[in-house]
Amino acid sequence: MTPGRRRGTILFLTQPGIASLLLSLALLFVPYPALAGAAQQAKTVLLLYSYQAVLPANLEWDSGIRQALENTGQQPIEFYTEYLDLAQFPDEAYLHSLLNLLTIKYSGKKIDILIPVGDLAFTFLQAHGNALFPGVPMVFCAVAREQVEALKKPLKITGQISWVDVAGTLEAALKLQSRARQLIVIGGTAETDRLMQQIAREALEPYKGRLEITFLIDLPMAEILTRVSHLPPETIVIYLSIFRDSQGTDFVPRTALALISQLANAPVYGLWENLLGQGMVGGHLMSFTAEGRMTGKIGRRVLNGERPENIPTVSEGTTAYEFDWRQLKRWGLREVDLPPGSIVHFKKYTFWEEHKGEVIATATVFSVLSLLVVGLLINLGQRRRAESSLRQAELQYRIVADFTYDWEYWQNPDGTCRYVSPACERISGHRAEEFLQRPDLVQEIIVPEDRELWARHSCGAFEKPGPREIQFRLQRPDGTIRWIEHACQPVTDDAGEFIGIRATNRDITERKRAEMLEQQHREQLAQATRLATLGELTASLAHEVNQPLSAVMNNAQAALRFLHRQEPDLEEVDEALGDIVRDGKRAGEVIQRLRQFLRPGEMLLQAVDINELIKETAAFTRNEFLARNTVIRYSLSDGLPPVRADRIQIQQVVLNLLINAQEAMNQSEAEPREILVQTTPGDVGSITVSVRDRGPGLPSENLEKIFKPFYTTKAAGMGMGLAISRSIITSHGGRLWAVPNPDQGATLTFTLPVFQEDPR
Amino acid sequence: MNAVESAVYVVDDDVSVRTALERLLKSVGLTVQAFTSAREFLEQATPAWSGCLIADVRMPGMSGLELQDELNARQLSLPVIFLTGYGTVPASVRALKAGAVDFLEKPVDDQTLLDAVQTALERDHRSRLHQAEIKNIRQRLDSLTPREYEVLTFIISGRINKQVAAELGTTEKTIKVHRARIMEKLQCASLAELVRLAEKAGIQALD
Repeated sequence: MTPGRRRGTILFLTQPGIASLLLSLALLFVPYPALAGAAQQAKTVLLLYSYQAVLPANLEWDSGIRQALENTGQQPIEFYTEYLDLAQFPDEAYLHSLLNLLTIKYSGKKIDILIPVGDLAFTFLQAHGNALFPGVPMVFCAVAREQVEALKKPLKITGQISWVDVAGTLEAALKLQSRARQLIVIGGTAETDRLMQQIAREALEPYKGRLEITFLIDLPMAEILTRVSHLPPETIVIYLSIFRDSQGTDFVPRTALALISQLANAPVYGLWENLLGQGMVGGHLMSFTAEGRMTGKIGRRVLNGERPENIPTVSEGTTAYEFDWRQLKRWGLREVDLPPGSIVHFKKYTFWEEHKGEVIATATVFSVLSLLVVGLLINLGQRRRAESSLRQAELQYRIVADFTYDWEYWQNPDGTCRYVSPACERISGHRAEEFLQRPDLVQEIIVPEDRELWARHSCGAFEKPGPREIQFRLQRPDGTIRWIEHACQPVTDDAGEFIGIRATNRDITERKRAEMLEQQHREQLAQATRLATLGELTASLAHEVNQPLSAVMNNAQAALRFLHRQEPDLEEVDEALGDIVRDGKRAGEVIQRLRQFLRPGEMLLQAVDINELIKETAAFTRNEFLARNTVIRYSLSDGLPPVRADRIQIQQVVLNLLINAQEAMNQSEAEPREILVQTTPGDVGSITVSVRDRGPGLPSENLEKIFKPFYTTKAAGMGMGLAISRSIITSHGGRLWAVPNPDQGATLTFTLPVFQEDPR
Repeated sequence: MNAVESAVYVVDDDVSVRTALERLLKSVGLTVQAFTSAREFLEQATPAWSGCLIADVRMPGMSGLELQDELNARQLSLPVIFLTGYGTVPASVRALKAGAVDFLEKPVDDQTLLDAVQTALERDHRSRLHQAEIKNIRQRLDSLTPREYEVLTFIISGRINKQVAAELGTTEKTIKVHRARIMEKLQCASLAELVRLAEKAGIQALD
């Protein structure tokens, strides 16, 4: 189907579609009683067709009439339809029976409007309408003007006057075939055929001088067909209608046309729109559907109450210039010669016509591409030069990368490696190709203990931008362990798209070894200092151990004596043994504390309650300080968060500060000998501990020198206490300093960071 | 506690040590009275308390050595046994000089402690007997007239009557009378007895 046709069809299908949809919607909102009332007032239309039921024209009229009438949507319409078939059965008996039949059928029926379609039905109703349907208004359809005008007296009727434009068709044909001299007019012998010929003769009267006009009328169909196939050149054929040929054979006009136009050796023109597609070229064509529609419109006005005599008859609006494109092509007729406003059906568009847009677009694209090709060719020279300098740059960068001392690599988002610098072999013992081929190799050679660290680091790599650093160990194929400092950062392209990770692995084994050695030395020194510190507290410690031991011994001896009495006092023995157990435990705890304090070991940072640690540490000094008449007072803040510390090392610092404070007061006659230990929340994320004494104070010239190793004011001191204390506090991320008190003595203060779950 | 009863007084701030000592002393039938601090002991003690005192050298508040000083100052003459966890020479010298019976290191063996206690108790007993004798002598001496006391000092210095009479500017006969009165008042039968008594009373002989 061609686009033009399709467009028309859609239009026709759509409008009633919408209309019926609207109607349905309207009905939906009409209350039932109103609907029932409307049903009672349903208008009744009686359609009387002149011809047999299956005549194509009948269907078209019918559809036009119904469309126009029902389109109002205001009231339901009931249709009665009669096919009088008077052309085929013109005899009296039939007429009589027909009248009888109609009388029987419609005697009790209320008919609101009569619509005779065609001349025969019209004349039939002129003769019998009053008897059959007295007082019913009539709106006729497709009736010849002559018939209407032949009425003797003006009647209360109106309707649509049918006309066919033979002259219009001929004019169009003459435009297409300007050199034509012959006109053949083909018709039949039925009453309607005769009527058509009469119309044609009148219409063609003006053309008699210009054209040689031949009517092929009273001929058998076979003869007609023979004649049309042997026409001289430049002939115009106009087909009127053939309901019946000279031999009395009945035809449907469209079938007759199909036969004729198929065999004709000249273009055949016609008068009816519904015959288009049957082989004719076209013409000024009358549409039965349009006739029906015009009639329906008038019928609607009558149904709405208008008096028929007040409505003028209508003849316009039923014709159009319509042509069959295929036939134009068949006869070599040009579209440009068609009358203005012509509708061309069945058009097969050329590729250009059908795809004009695409063709233009494609052509445009090709043009642009061609321009681009030219541009690219011009560019090529520049590019070659650019590429050359690019190669040079790449060489430079590659040399830089390949000769880096560190193991550099670039990882794609999928985890594979894009580049690995050759230094990886020196560090890991594996060649760059191995890393390129096996993305998981890095993970595999990391020592098992550090793999989790590595995995955790990798997981978060894309989430946060910026570089990240970790340290891990890997094992080389020869079994040796290497410490690696790994730094990486996500790389993005100009558009901000993630395109991988750039990373550097640096071998820090030597540095790590030195660090560990230093740490080890520091720990050893710290331990030695702890031992020295405890040496100063031997009296205290001996007392701490001796007290429970002494109690144990005396209890045991007492128990023995109670047991060896004449009458053993078991109650006392029981109590003594209970006390022995308790004191044994107590002694054990003291020893345990001491052992921990003296234990050499790696720094173990954990959450430590600083107040508790201070009290625990002060217990070491208890007896010593008693002997020296020294009292420790506490001002410890409640609810402090735990600090991040190595318990033993901080104990060492606290002990050292306490002993220093005490000894400072031994040197002077300060009374009372009082040490104030204070804890306070420090700056954000830290806690401050201060130890205040009432001794002689600090050397005024250089406060810092007390922190120097081997600085001491004591005869027996090593001079390491404060130096070690400071190194311990610094390694914890805190500070240790001294200030003289305004009145007397000095205060030593240190800070420690607050413990956080994950210091990262 | 009545005045005649003697007891072992224990002063130690450490409850374990105190209880153990108390139990050990009781196991040999001694009467024990325990105190948690020197101050508590001093608040209750009277000169009538006899027996001995066991104290820790190091205690909060008043130390054992300070307690000893305080006892001497108050004339509460109880023998003191010191216990110490970690003895230092200066501390023990000072304690012993001040009259301590013993200076024992913890942990102390029961026999050592009990021996020390025994010694202390005996010393206290002797001391109290001695004190009583001195008191008796003093009473007798108090009955002498000043002239008789003067004569006594000459006699115990070995002077004969004639010398004494010459020194005092009187007759030998008068001195003889004084001498008889002195012997009678002091209940002495011989010169030797008289000399011993004077010595006990601490009367200094003349040159």
